[in-house]
Amino acid sequence: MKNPRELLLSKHQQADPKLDVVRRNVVAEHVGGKTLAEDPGSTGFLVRLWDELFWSCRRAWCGLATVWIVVLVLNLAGETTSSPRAMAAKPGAPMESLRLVLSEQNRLRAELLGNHSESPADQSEPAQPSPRSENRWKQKTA
Amino acid sequence: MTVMTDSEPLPVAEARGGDADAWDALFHRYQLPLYAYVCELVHDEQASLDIVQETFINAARHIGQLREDARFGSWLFGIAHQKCIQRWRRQRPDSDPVEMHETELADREKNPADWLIGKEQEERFMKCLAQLTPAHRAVLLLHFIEEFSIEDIAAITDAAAGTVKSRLHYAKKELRQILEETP
Repeated sequence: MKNPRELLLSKHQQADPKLDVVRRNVVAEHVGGKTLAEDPGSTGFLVRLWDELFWSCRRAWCGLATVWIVVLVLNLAGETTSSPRAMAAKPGAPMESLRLVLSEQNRLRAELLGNHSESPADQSEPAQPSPRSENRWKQKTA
Repeated sequence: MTVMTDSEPLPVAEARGGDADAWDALFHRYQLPLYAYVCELVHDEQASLDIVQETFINAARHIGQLREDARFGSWLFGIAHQKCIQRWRRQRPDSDPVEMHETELADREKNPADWLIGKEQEERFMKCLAQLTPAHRAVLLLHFIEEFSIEDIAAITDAAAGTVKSRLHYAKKELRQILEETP
């Protein structure tokens, strides 16, 4: 009488020689002379760290890296097509663009306040703050 | 070549250190039970040899992932089990060899070593084993071949402990009926 384990193992006993060959090949090619820990100190620790932190979750790390690469590519593509960046390539461009923005703001403010007598010189230069006495006079006459 | 008995402690610590003899002893201890398990699941001798080889290679490469040395056996069978599932999915991509969750049943069955099968029942036993679903067959083989605990079998097959218990109960019930029918 046999128990199930004995029955199962005896049924497959004839495969033992082939299994011996498999075992020896694996030990020779993947263990003997090519071990993880010929230096079981720091190298073994680093390899174990690599295995546990990165290799075991390699798919997740690859997914994250892909997402970041896509974000970087999109960001760089957006930078090359936008006009402020193109203007920044010219020398002195930042000051000129600032002047243009400020003059546009002055123009819009003048339109809102109903002041249409703004001179072209004012459009090119940013408005200088007026003295307080003049402001008081303007308020009295408004 | 070192031949280990079941009672000897496993030289896993030495294997972690790259000792080729330790690896040889570990693989020799498990090569036949592992092959028997895989062959009863996939029913293909050459595929079973390939799976055993791949399992050994994976174990040698990723021994760092094993947290407890005492669980080397269940860890090894877990790798082999996953390779069997990958093979099933390659053959039948739409089917899932793992059944849905079943109701939990108490397991009050005998020790696997207490099961005794007469010569005249051997063929019927093997035939009945082959007729079980892959999920039931897997838990029964793990229970019989290596006498793994419910928790170990659950870890190997990536199933809940309750599911493993119910599958084991059902599979043993089927087998017992066959064996008791034979005079």
